Amino acid sequence: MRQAVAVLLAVFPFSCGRTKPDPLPGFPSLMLWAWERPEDLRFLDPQAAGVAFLAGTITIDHGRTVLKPRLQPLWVARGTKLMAVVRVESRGQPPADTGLVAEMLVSAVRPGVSGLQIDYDAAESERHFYQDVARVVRAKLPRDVPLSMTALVSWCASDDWIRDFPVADAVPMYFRMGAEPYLRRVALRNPLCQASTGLSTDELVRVPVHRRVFLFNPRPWTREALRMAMSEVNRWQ
Amino acid sequence: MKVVLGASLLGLLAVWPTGLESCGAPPLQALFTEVNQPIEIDEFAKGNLGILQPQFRRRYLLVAYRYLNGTASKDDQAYLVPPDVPSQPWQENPEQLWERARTAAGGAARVPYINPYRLNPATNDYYLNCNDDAFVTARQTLARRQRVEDWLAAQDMVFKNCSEGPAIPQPLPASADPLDRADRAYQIAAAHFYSANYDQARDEFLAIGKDSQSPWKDLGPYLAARVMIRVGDYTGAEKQLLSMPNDERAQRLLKTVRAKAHPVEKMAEVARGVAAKHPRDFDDLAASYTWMYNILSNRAGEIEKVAALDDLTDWIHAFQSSGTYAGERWRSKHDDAWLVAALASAAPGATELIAAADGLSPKSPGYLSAQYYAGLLEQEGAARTRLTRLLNRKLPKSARNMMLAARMRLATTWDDFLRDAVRVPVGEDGYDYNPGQPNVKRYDPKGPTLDEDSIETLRTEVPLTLLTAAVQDTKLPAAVRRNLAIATWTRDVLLNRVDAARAIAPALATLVPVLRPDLEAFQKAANESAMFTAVYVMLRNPGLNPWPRTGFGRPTPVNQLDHLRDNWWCDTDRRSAQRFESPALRKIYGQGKPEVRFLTADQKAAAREEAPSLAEAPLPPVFLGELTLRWGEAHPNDPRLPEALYRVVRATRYSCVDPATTQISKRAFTLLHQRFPNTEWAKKTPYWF
Repeated sequence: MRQAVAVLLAVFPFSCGRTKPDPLPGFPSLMLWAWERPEDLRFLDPQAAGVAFLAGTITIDHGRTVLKPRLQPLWVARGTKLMAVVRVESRGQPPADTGLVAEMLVSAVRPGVSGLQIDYDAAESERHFYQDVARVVRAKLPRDVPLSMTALVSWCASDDWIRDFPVADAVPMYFRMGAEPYLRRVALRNPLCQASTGLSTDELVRVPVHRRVFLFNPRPWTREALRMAMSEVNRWQ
Repeated sequence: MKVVLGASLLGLLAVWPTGLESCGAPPLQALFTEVNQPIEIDEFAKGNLGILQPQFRRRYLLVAYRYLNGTASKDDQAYLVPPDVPSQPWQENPEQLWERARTAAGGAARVPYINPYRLNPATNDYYLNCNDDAFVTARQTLARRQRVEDWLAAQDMVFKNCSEGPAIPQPLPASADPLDRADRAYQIAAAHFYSANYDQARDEFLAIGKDSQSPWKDLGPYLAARVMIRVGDYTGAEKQLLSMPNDERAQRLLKTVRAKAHPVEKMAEVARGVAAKHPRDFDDLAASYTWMYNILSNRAGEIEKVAALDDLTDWIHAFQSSGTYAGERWRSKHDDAWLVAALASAAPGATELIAAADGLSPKSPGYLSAQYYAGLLEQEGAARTRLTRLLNRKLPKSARNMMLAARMRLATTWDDFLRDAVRVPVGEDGYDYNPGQPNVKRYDPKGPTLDEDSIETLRTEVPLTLLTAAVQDTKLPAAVRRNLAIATWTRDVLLNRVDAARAIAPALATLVPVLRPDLEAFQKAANESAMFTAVYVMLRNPGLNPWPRTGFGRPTPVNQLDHLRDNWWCDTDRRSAQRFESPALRKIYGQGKPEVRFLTADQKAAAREEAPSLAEAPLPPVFLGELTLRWGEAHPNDPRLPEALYRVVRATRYSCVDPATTQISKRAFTLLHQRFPNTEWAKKTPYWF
């Protein structure tokens, strides 16, 4: 079965934008987001797919900061490329000191983890804070560990505030778009957003697919869920 | 720039799929029946259970079971409706307080952030390694010691093991102060514990327990038990804790150990306690019970084992499952709780159960549930009589709506259908996208309106003649008439029935006064321009939609653009829902949909004739745009034309779209700028979409 999945992924034709260097070198062209639930992804072929797993959630509540790390198991095959994802949720004014949040983010990168992705739907009032945190994180991370971020599609399309973000890659999330589903048909101008595409298995509506796909599943991953999603995404090429 | 933008979008759209669907956080919707919990919790907590539903959370089913068995008391009310507790001011967490204390006491420069969680590398998850108590104890110890420099340095090493390590402090020499040596021994044992060197930690904590000079003597054996729990040695931990009968903390931990070691037996014991007439500490038992239920229900076969030992779990499990088991249990027990569960899961025609429901006292907390589920099992006539009898009495809001829905399914006249279709929402769900006025509700949360089941029928099964009659029916609530009037007028226009649209326009203007000026112009329009005038009215009023809406309807006034693109209609409006959202409606209809019994053959034929034209009607920008462009070619001097073209372009941006809408957008844009370049409408239209 693993062979079947590997074959399916191997033919996945992510062909757009191949002229620019890959901002996440060494990561496969398919990354599965593994969220806070028990996930057994040992069926993946490490050559064909990597795993971006939720490593923790930082809650900032009116300036007070708490990290809740991942408490659910994740099994992967030996050699699977791992990216730690840290979600940031905030209410009220962000803290003046970015240091603690940055330390928490960096702590997610432990042996075996090759990259860090920040998942923070920052409100307008939190953008400066986010930028400052990202700068500190980038400075603290080893140079060979790429920093990635998830992005609302509007950030990539029209609201260009992340243009100077110190990240290698921003993943536009074409799901749970709230008021913005029409943005599926808008070109992404921000260069940071032109290497990866974020999709969810339960909202596979055709969008431009970049060289790398990050795929979310609202339920625990199964071979079948992955096979069905990939069949659909492959049809778009 | 316009050209470039237009060209690039055109190129993009040339390969674009049709039928884009919107998604995201669901917009606000009305709830007509309870979903996961009772709406009127105060009444439920007093034993007025309404109609119990299997999808209720177990804390409510637990209390319902107690009422059905006559064991409930004021404890149940306090459990479901606890007294208000003033919110506590936020406090720093223990590790932050510890960091502050150690810095104040002259500890080394700020330690890195203390992460109390440790990674399990095999499974990529973390576990809470250093509990709050560890930091509290450290802070208390720091406050009590005179010489703290070495102690602090060692304690920093201890806490380093919370997420990293190992870092083990060195033992002190025999010549050192006995208190310092005892402290260090404790720190070393703790460091081994946090660094996952469990055997050594256990032995050292046990050794501390034997050191009569150590201030940690009492804590050592308790922590040895904690080490055993960490490695899953519940037998050892139980034995260790049993040897400490006078230690309150140990005895509390013993309960947890037994729950982990013997989960099925322990849960059954808790279940028996929580179901008893006067349990001690009901809140604690109930919380433990639901917690254990959640855990064991995720382990295959475990809940069934508990159910075999305990009636409460057996009942909840049966009520939340389908099949005949509950009926079998009722036949052996003949009590109210099992009767309700049996009725809820029985197949139609279960006469024995229906008779038992009839025998139930109206004073029983299960009466409404039994009557309702019996009504779903009966033949039409008997069911209608039963539901009518029940609906004539005072009912909880959700129960009333459930019974109206059950009776509407059986409606044989249009009047009966409408009577039962009108319901008052019991609550709301979803997100109110109202950024402009966040505190202003744009709907009447208590106003009678229509649920999914009647809308499903009205969408495609009912002819325009009946909809028109309903609009004129002053017995119906204004909100319902308004909803139907908008749909009826718009349908008439889409079907090119200008006379019918004119006939209903006065009623629509009365029900939606903001439309009056536009509709008056439509009424006065000559026959030749009537259709374009109707289109012009629609362009100016994006809330005009041929499909009647459920619940609160469109949240934005009919004459304003909705910022979530809920404007005119979409492909999704034309499609039938795959299944009802409401669990109560799914229970009534199963996988099916309402079957219309109240129409004459002529009415059915009329509806069948109208339905395809509506279903195949183009998307709004195409329908409105084509007619406007056609009118513009024939009547280039119509003063309404610049505004209409501007609104067509806006419609291609703010309505549902497909590839055809792009062409419309460009054509309307071009005509507007070529023919009316100096108008305010052209200036307000810098792009096409």
